[in-house]
Amino acid sequence: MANRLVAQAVAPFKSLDRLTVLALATLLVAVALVIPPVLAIVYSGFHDGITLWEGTNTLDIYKTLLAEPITYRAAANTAVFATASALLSVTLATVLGLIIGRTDAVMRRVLFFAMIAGFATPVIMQTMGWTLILGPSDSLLNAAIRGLFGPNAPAPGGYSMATAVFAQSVIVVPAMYFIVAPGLANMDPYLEEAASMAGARQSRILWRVTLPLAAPSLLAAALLSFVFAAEAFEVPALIALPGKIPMLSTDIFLKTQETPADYSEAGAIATILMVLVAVILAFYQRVTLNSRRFAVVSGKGKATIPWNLGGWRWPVGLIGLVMATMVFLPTLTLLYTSFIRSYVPPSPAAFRTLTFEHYVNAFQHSQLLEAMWTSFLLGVTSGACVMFLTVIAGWVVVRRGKRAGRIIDQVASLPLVIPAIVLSLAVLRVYIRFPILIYGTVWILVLAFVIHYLPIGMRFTVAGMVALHPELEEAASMAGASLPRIARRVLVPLLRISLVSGFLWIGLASLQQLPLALFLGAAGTTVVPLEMWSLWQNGTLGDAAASAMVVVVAVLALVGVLYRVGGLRDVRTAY
Amino acid sequence: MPRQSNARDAALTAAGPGQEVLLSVEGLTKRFPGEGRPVTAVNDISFSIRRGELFTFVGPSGCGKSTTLRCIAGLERPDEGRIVVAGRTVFDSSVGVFVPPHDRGIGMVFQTYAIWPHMSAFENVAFPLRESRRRDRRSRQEIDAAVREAFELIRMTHLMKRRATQLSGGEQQRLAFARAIVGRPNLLLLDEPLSNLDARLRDRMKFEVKRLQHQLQITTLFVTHDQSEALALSDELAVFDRGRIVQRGTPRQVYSAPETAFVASFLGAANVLVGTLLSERDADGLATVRLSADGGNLCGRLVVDVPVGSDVAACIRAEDCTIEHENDSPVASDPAVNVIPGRLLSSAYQGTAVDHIVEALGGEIRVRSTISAAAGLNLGDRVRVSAPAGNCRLVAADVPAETAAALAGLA
Repeated sequence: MANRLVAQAVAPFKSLDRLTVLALATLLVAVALVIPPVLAIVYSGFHDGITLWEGTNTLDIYKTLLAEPITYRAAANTAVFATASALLSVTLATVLGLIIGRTDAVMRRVLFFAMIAGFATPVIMQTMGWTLILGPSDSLLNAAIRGLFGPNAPAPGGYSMATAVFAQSVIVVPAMYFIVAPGLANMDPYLEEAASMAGARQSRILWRVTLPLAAPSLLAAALLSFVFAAEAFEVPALIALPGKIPMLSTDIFLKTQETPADYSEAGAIATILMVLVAVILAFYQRVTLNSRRFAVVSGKGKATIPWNLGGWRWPVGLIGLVMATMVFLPTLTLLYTSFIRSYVPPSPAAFRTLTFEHYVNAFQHSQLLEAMWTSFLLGVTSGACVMFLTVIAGWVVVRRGKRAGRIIDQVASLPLVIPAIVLSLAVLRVYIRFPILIYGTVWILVLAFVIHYLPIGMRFTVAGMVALHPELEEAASMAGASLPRIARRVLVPLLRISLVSGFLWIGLASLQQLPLALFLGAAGTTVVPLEMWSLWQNGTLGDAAASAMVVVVAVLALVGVLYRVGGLRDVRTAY
Repeated sequence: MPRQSNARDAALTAAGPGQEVLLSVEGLTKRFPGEGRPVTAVNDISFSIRRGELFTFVGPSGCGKSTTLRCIAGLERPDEGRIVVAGRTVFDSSVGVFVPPHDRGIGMVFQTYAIWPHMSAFENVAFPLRESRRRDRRSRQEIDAAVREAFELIRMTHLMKRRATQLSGGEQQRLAFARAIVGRPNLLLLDEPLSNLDARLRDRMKFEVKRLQHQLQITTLFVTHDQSEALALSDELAVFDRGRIVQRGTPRQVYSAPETAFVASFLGAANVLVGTLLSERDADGLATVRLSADGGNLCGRLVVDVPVGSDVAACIRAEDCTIEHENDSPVASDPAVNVIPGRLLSSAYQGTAVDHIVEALGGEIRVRSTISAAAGLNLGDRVRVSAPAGNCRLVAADVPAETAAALAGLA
């Protein structure tokens, strides 16, 4: 009798099986990682003090901020910048998507690889290139106009909003291409064939069937492009800032550069930016949920028939080539800059000053090698951490889609609304006084990267897991394998491609992500994008360009691997 | 508690004396969270299986048969009940025992086969041996030998080195079978293993499963929604409906003597006509029912103990009926044969027989005739359908599972 009573008392705890424990543990890690930085940033805006633990709580920060006209100008500029570049980038991406995916135009393959290369090139580098192309005084554009129309011709290049919008648009076109292209290329061919049988010509089909069907995914891409631009730091910092065009992301940065640094106002602006991004992302989520109802991507079945362009194959191919050139142009400009003594627009005289000295400087006098090593450590560590966490979290979400799964999914998605520059600041604020001192080590960077890439890791593992039939794991269980053994022998091998892709993706980011590292690098723990940013700020243009070229080689090698393992097919997965 | 111990006694006696019970399930209940309130997928099920038996769960989709199987496997955690496999309690809600699936020593073949695509055929089959507990883990040679033996059993030794993804559907199915039995489990669970195969292959695999089960003498629990598979394979079967076992017995018993309208219609009785019982059972066991549809009377064998005036259902198989033209000379009137006038709506040639749909009794009834009997019948003709009362079973319109066992003696 007593035995039975004991057994009954223990029963509810026994039902807390290992899966539930696993789910709870994952949840705790996710919460511990994600929640404190968000709270810290919001709290900063209501707290006057150099750290979070000193000073007083107040509403004055928002009062001051909202009384300054520059705040509204920054917000308006950010909105204009983001809206314009969203529209331009998605339009360009749609045209490219149609040319590459749906026509028989020439050189489509070249165009496709241009998209991959453009996607991989670090944004900071591309922005540096664009300032040389579209910037003021001796930029390529101004030099070309002067060459064509004489020395007194007007100079259209400069640090203007137009330049910023154009640069940002071209920079995000490859990402947008990878988002919209599958929807355009894999559309159910029967829908178009039905229109054709109904008597519609090809151009009519494009306007009345193809584009309307793709509309939800195009809108989703535009919203995402808006978010990218609103969060962007590189273009605002390198083009808008010297052009005296205030924006929210650069304002956050400037507040921290004041002496003493004004973390409270920075926190308040960051909160405003975060709210803006959250609103757009909520809208994005609704659009993507709705677009699933259209079910244009059937996955299998027959492929769409490419439109026969006839005599237009070459002209259309050339349009594509021009766009591809725009993607490559910044890199080419940097390549040129890295080989001449001091930057002047290309001319026969300029080519007589060809030199390797910038490369020698890059390796000898800068911290480039050190930064590459730190980037490598950062990429490997944060990639491994994220994939390890998300394979567990993803499993709980997909296989135990109960309450715990849903909460984990939501918590792990939360970093999506934290712009990288805001997260960087937040991590700095929380961990500068952490009991275990991680500021000044690579670990504070790892922490920021793990938080930031948690949602992307989740996308990779969840997408991989959804494709696996649960019976594959159940069969292993019936064959006598315990949960850890199932994970090792069945789950991880079958998720190999998703895991490697996610890992490489995050590894790539350690070479590219400037805003996320912005406040977290210290002497000895600088990373590649930070090093390029500091070279640029110090005005050593040629050295910066030479380091950029070194990085480009490393990045392209990594992307080549990613392409080989099939990870680029997952680019769309990652958003 | 008394209810449960009753169920336990019933389960033990049903197994019969002298024959070892291998699997016993008592009061098994499984609920899933649904919209608002939980949905009961398995509702207080009790049964037992003897060693070496091939036992089948048959029923329409969503009847709880697969959930019951997954509870036995340990892939689902039941809310209530007790499961004992080969004398070992693997689940008992009253004392909080739950043995995880990998420690139950049960083999299972899944509906999708669940062949691991990243392993070779050999690796797939060797997996259970390599994962077995340390104390009975075997040497490399022993594993090789056991795997080879399993491949010989399924006659696929020539495909041992293939990648699993290079195998056809039928080969994957056999491979899944080999993987399930290679560790010589006490119990083999088959979850609709034939439903993903095409019709011809399914027919062949039916015999294959029977052969393998017979050869290995392994206790097998087979789940299917296909009544012909259930009838062809089972030593004994249980018909499931809405989370309960509504009838159990040998295929012959259940097919020839369905106890409820549901079982009759599920096991292929084409005509189930509801009505009200008009008379007591006569000396021949026959009684009369008034049909609700057109008020006509029908005579049949009453197999349930219900008072006059109760709702009953008359079940007539299409092949038990005969059909003739109205103008044909009438057979001598026999009270033991129901003669039903009607109009021929449609006929379909089936190779060895012809199926007819006849407008009669306020609805449509189905009749199967020989090809010669169908000659001379045209669509729209007035016809006469004869159904012997002895083959027309009057069963409960809806029988609760509790009384199903009590009714079994009447068959």
